[in-house]
Amino acid sequence: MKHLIFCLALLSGMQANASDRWQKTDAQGRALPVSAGPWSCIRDLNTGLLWENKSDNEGLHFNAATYSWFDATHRLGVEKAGSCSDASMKVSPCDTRDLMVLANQQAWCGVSNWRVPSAKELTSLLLDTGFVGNPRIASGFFPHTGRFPYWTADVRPSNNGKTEALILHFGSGSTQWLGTQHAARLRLVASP
Amino acid sequence: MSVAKYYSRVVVLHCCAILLLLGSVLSGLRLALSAGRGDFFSVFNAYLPQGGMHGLHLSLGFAWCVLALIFVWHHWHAPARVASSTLAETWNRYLIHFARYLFLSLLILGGALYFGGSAALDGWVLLLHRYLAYSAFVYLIVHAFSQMIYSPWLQVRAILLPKLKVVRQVGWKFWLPVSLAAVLWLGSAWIMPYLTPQLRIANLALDQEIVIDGLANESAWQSAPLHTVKTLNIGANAAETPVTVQGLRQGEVVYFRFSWPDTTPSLQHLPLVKTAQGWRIEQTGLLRNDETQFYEDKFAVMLARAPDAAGAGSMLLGSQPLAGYAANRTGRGYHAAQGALLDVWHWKSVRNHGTKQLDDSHFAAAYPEVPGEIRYTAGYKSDPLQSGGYSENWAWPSNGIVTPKRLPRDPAQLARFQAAKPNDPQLVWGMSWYETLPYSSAADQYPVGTRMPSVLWTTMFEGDRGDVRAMASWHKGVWTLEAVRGIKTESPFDLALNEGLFMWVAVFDHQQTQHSYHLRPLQLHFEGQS
Ligand code: HEM
Ligand code: HEM
Ligand code: HEM
Repeated sequence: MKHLIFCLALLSGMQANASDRWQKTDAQGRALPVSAGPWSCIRDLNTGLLWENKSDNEGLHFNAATYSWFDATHRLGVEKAGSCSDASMKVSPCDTRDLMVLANQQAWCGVSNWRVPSAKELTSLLLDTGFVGNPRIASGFFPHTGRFPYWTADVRPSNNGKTEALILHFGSGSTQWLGTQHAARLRLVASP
Repeated sequence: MSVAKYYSRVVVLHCCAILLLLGSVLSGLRLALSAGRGDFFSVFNAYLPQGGMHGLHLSLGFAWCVLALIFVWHHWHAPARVASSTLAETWNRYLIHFARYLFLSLLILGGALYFGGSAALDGWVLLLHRYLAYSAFVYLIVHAFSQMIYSPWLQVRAILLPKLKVVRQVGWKFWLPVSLAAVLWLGSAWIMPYLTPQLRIANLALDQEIVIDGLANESAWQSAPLHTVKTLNIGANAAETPVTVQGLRQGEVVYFRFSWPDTTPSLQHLPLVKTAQGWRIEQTGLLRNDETQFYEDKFAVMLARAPDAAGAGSMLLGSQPLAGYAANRTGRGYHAAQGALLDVWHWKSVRNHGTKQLDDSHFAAAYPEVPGEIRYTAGYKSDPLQSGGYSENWAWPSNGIVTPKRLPRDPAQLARFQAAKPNDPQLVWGMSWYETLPYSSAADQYPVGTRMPSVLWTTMFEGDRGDVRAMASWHKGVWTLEAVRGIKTESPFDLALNEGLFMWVAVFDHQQTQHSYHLRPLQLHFEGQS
């Protein structure tokens, strides 16, 4: 009997596959079924973190928009050295603060505490899909993710007196320090 | 020979025949079901075996041939029997006579299908083979019942519940040819490659030019050896689509030309139509991965180092042929390589329009399911892409209302799609991404009934997916596709076009996943080279 219960527990554990971890939400933050779409954010049911979904359409959440890394509170990094568009599709130079401010103004997915994820948080999205042509992420929930570097909030002074922040590359899955004046992609996160 | 020995042989032969018949009927029914020809038997879908049924069915076919030979040998050595003329005896004798012709015809038709192509005689051979297969199953039941009624129970029991001692009783003179037959059967897999027809590829002088335009009007095509592959269509009316194939090698590149008949060029791909509630996708089976109406014409080439039937054994039938992997939504099956990777070139008339490229793809061993993905395709993927390509004009497909991702910059762009004739070979249902803007309700002033393409072209493929240059054109009822690729590429998802490589082709006549196919490949042979 004990063996049977153990086996059943093992089986049910095995069935809890990765899609039980993710929940799609609409632009107001209401949960959507897995089979529904489109969706605006993805909630990590393990950690409670809410992630911004990206779109391949130009606009605020455009997947190919790039940002330089800038932290207005501590005045760290470099302003306006990426290229993105706002909700009215106007393309302009921008930095990580711009996307944060706009997403918070919109109360995107019902929350206004959007921020740049820490390296630890962003790394928790990594998933080896078994195919190098696919970005290393659960792309069914996180479509339009590029095999490109994405900014994290981890920052340090660089040798030349400037700052560099850690990027996570969704093609290789590795992290690397990059000068904050560079342009990289960004996916915002919000704590529960 | 003693009567006991004779009967022990009858028992052993019966055991083989019953097992083979069950195997052939079950695998054959799965073949028919997956090809949309299951007839009444479709209700048994859930109980039929799944997986690489083409290979199994063919190897059982070989086993049948071997069994037939043993049976003839067995009869030659039968002890003389007193002919009886009771009604029961006569009935059973005639039944068994009938069975001989039935099984012989089944085997001959099966061989004709394999060697002549599943589409032989425009599907009639297959149809006959299928109905004889049903008859064989009926025979099994009628014969078994007749024997149960008329034969001594001991004899019937001996066949239904065979005793181990028959193995000894039959004698070594029986086992010798059986063992030889078993070796022959096992060896059939190795014999097959030598029976593969060749695709002879002529040499093209370096100063001759072939323009990739789908016209194939260069003189070199007039003289290059021509091969015709009869591919079999999916569906109840198993008609054939013949595909002609030619190859020309010029230094380090190989040109191919494929043509196939199609009276209705389909250059429409899941258009959007405006209704009173909003835009809808025109589709009849998209959400099952089985759109058969509002779909573009496509064509595929498969290249493999192994010749096994049905695309190097990559075709796994049934809704969930791989334990532990996701199901497929058509219920018919999916592709996954059983050994080395297979190179697949997938040409799509609308989505690949204007780029002179096709979708370089592959069948690998089944990939794990990616959480949340809309469709699990097992081993089938397009090769990695750096940038470019096409996208759909919706963020998420649905039966209901969808919000288009983009609208034309200039509404007049849609004018030519409104009065479109069906199957107009000149009108390709796509829009350049750069001639569109992100959707806004302010710009969405289109009247109800407006139709809009859903294919958005961006730029050419950059990356492994763009390794094959290709273009097709439709003229007077025939599609002609010209394609060229380097013998070798940098991509780990391609196979080098070397001597001896095997090739299959498939025609998708305005079909998303239902395509014509053939079992035996062509084998590349470069003329005038080592
Ligand atoms: C008792 C013996 C056999 C039975 C019951 C049987 C049954 C079937 C059935 C039900 C089908 C599907 C027909 C359809 O899709 O319309 C089929 C297909 C086929 N059979 Fe048999 N068969 C037998 C023997 C053989 C033999 C001896 C061969 C020769 C090697 C053979 C080769 C084939 C081939 C090539 C196909 C076509 C598969 C395809 O292209 O999809 N069969 N068989
Ligand atoms: C694939 C299925 C079968 C085939 C092709 C087949 C074929 C035959 C043939 C050709 C004979 C004549 C043998 C001979 O005289 O040498 C025979 C006899 C016989 N069969 Fe079958 N049979 C099949 C299934 C069965 C089954 C399922 C049963 C059991 C119920 C059965 C019971 C018998 C009996 C009792 C005889 C009489 C043997 C004798 O008196 O010679 N058969 N069968
Ligand atoms: C016996 C042979 C074959 C059968 C029964 C067969 C059947 C199928 C089925 C059922 C699918 C749908 C899979 C899904 O729902 O995901 C499929 C897809 C496909 N097959 Fe085959 N196939 C065969 C051979 C071939 C060959 C020889 C080629 C290439 C020359 C080929 C190329 C393809 C391609 C490219 C797809 C993907 C279509 C798409 O979704 O875009 N198949 N096949």
